[in-house]
Amino acid sequence: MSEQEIQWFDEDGKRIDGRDKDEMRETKMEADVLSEADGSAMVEVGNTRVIASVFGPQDLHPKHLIESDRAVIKMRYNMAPFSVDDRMSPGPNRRATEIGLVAKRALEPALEMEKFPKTGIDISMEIIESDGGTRAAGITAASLALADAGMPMKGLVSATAAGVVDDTVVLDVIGKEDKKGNADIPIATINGGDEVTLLQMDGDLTKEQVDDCISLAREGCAELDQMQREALHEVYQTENGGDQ
Amino acid sequence: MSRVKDSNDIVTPGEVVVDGNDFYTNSGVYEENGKIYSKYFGTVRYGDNAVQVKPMHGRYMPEEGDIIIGEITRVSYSRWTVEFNSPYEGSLDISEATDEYVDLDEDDLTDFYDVGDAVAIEVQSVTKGMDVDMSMDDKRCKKLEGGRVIEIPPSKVPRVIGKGGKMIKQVNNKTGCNIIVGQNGQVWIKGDNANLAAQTIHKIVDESQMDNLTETISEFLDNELEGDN
Repeated sequence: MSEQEIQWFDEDGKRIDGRDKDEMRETKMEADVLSEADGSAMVEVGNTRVIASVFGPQDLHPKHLIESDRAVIKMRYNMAPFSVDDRMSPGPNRRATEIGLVAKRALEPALEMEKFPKTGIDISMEIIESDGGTRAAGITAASLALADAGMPMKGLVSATAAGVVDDTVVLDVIGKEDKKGNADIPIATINGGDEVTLLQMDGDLTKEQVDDCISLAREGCAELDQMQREALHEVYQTENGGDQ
Repeated sequence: MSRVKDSNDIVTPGEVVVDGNDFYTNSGVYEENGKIYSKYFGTVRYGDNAVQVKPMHGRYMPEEGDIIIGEITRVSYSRWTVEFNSPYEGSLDISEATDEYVDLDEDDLTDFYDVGDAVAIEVQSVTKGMDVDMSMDDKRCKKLEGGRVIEIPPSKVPRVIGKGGKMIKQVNNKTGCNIIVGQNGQVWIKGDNANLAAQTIHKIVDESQMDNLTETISEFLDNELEGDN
C-alpha cells in the first residue's frame, strides 16, 4: 500500500508541506477583481487558485428554466487545462458537473432567491491552479463574488476540507494528502457558524474521525469567514480613495 | 443602546448590526435569534428606532414612483416595452403614454415612441412577480431628443442629486447642460458642455465619500470653465 511508503509526519509532527495538523494553508482573498462582471473574487489557498464571477440577476435562457417566484442559479465549475500536473482536456466532464451542482446547493441556502423572480444568476468558478480543495476554494470565492455583486444573502459561505492521513485528522488537505491519504471531508458553513450547507466524504474513516474532521473543518470555516469580510472591506477602501 | 456599528459603517452579509431586537427592521436587514443582521455588503443607517442597510453594488430594482431613463425596445399593438438596465423590463400602455385619442388600427404607435428612443419615464407599479408598468404622466417624463446617456452605479444616485437637488442643480447651472438623473443610474446629458458635465458626474461618483463635496465640485467646475475661455 502506498500509504506506508510516504512519511506523512516528520519527527516534530509537521506535515509534508511543513504545516501543523490543524493549520490552514496560507490563504489570500481579493474581491472585485474583474471589471465586467457584476461581482467577482479570487481566492488562493496555498497553490490552489480560483477565480469566481457572478453575472446577474439577469434574463434567463433557455426560458423553460425560469421559476416565476425566485431566481435560478446556473453554476459552472471549470478547471483550466493547465491547472493540473498533466494537461487536462478542456470542457465539462462528469466530475465538473457534479461539483457545480454541490456548489450550487451549498450556496443557495444563504441566498435570498425570492427577491428576483423570473431571473437567472450565472456563477462561474474557474480553477486556475489545482492542489486539492478546489471545490472548497471555489465555494468560498463564489460566495465572496455574490456579496460583491450586491446579492441579498443570509451570510457568507466559507468552505474548507479536513481529512485523515496516517490515521491522524488534519485540516485543509493538499492534493497529495487528498489522493494518497485515507479520507477527506469538505464542509461549507454559513457565516462560519452552525449551519452546514455542504458535507461530502470520500474514503475510509472511523466514526470518531468523522466527528473530529467536522469540528476541525468548521474551525477552519470560521477563520475563512473572517478573511472574506476583510476582503470586502478592502473593496470599499479601494473604491473610496485608498488614502485611509 | 444595542447598536454595534456607527451610521455609514461598512457591513458584510451576516454581520450583526443590532445586538437585540429593539429596532424596526427596514430594508436590507433580517432578524434572527434576537439579533439583527445585514443582508448586504453595504453601509448601515440607523434611524431613531429603525435600521437599514444600503447595498454598495448591485443592479437597479424598479420601485414605484421612481423616474428612470430607459430605452424603447419593442412596439406592440397598444403598448411599448422599455428596458432600463435592470433584470426586468417595463411595459408602457398607450393610455398611460398620451391623452390624445389614438385609433389603434389607423395610427402608427412609432409616431410617439420608436424602437431605440430614450425616454425619461415613471415606474407606475411593480407587482410581486416583477411585472413593471410605466407611465408618462409625470411632468418630468419625456422623450429624450439628442444628448447622451452615461451610466453610474444606482447606489450613487442620491449623492449625484444631492440634498434637495443641490448638487445636480449646480452642475446644471454652471455647465448650462440639460441633465436628468434616472434612479436606475442612467444619466442623460444634453448641451455644449456635455463632456465637462459627464466628467463632473463621474468625479462626484468617485469622490462620493468626501466631506464638502458640493464645494469641491463647485471649485472644480469654476477652474475647468475658466480654462476654456
